[in-house]
Amino acid sequence: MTAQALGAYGEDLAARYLRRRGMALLDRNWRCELGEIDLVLRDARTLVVCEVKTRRSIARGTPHEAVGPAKLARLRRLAARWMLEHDVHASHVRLDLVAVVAPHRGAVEIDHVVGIG
Amino acid sequence: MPIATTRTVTLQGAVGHLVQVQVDVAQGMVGTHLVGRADAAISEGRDRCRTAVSNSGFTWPATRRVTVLLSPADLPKRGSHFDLAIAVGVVCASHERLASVVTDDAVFLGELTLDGRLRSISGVLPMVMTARSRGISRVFVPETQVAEAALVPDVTVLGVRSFAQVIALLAGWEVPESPPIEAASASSFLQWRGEGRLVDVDLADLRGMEDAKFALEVAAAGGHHLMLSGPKGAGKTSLAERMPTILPDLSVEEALEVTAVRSLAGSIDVSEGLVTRPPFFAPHHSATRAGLLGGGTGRVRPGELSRAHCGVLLLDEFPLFQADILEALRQPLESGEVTISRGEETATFPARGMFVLACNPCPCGNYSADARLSRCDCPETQRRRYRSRISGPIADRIDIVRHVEAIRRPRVDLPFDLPEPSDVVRARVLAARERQAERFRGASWRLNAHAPGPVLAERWPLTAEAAAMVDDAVYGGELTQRGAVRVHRLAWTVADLSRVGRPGVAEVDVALALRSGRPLATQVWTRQAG
Repeated sequence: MTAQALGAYGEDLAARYLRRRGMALLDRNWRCELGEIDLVLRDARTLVVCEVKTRRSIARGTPHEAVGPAKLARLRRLAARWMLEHDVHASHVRLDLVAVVAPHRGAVEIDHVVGIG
Repeated sequence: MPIATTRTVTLQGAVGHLVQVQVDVAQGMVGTHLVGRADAAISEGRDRCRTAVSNSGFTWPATRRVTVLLSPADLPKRGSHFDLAIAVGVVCASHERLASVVTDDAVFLGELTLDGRLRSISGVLPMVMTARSRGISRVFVPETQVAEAALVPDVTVLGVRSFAQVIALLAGWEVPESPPIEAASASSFLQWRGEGRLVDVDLADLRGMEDAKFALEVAAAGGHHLMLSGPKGAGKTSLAERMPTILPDLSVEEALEVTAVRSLAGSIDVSEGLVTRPPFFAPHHSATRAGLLGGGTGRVRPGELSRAHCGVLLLDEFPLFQADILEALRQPLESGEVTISRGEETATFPARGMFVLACNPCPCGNYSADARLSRCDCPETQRRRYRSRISGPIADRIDIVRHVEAIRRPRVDLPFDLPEPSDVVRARVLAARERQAERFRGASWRLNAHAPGPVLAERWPLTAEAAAMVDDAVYGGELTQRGAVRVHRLAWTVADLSRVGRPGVAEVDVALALRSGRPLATQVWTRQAG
């Protein structure tokens, strides 16, 4: 599995996981010149911009650690751009992280961080 | 939300403060945030803690936001010894099987290495003393410093080698590697530096000067400051040097304080035991402000003033000390402590020693009030300038003033007597101090000289006639208000030495004479010897 394929696999898992939690998927892999949003969802009255990080193992650090202040700032700009482009005016916007650890053998671990930053 | 609380101590000079370390592990952007005025050494500890925890077989919460709060939040905190408290807090907050661990009664002191072992730190003794005074019953220290920490009685000292050992002890698991050493309490160290330090000087070496010797005895008994003036070669320095020989051994409490100051000054190996004899320091008049009062670059160190805590500080030829240093002596003379303020930082050290100020009557040292004996050739203006430094605010804070004259042929009407040896005098001083301890039981001071004036007036007044005598001296302009309080204290010491229940006219008369520099009637000190 290539890195891209692993990423897509993680995003699939994350989307399914969040939908089961009662969130509605609005968009996937939305791109503009600022970058890419993995998942856009609606959680009741809140618009959720979700970053998905997938790793085979945590030997080189946890997926959580890959999201730093720079990434967070970019996600904020992307969220604003997405709303502008789609003429959506959500009163509450939240940035989430779904960390997926999918080892070659054994169970996949999914950790949903509600509201980072 | 998992929150864990641990405790440690931070020092401001010799004064310690208990610091609460609260750790919260929660969802959010991954990182470790330290709040609460931590210095660089503590902040760097984040990386030491993380690696040490991982290398000790525990997982660091690398998927969570870790917030470490050091409180009280307004107190600046310093020292690498915070590592242990922070690491224990993080591990307890992030491991469910450690959620029930109780650390309320414990203080953690230690710097971590990357492999999770504990390095020794400075200031263990005053930190453990602080912990004890705040009701802490268990102290975790690096194994190498067990001996130092165990000088403090009534605290269980746990010497540990590694972070893993600390967690195992807390959780009640089997302790890895060798078991920690639980050290014995203070008693075994107390006599380590015993009588041997009574250096080979003795009061019996000095002939005559009975008047000054009596003043020395009163000063020693009540903890009073003393000024000796007199011409060169009269024996002022010799007298002052013998002051420690008539002081009793330090109490456990005093020994801890004195040793703690030495430990901060870095001048002794504390693990060798407590200092049990009163210290004696005689800085030269060219000493710097930092050397005398405390200070220095980097960490604030105690000066000679504090190192002479519970002992004797001799300032020989004190008018030659820099004027601003003499001014700075006012606070310690009055309050018994030195406070050094420097930017963000304030350090307080104890300085409750006895000050002995020695001075010549003039710059050349040959002046005598008796014109026949005076061989002084200083110009009058210089002599006056020198005098002006002796009087003033410092002199007002000195309890006893004595003039020492060069020894002359013994007076024929006195029986020939060998001078009293120091241990005889010391026994009387000890008895007088025991009377004071009895009287001041439960109070925060131990000696007459440290008793607050208002409390003294209220609870331990003079007899009516004696009080009237003091009032007369004040109204007559002979005494200041501050001087009146000092005479009151002195009168109590004189009473304690002569085993009188309450100071009356006789004691106040002696006290007034001691304070004003007036020579004492011969029977005062002969009565003492008898």
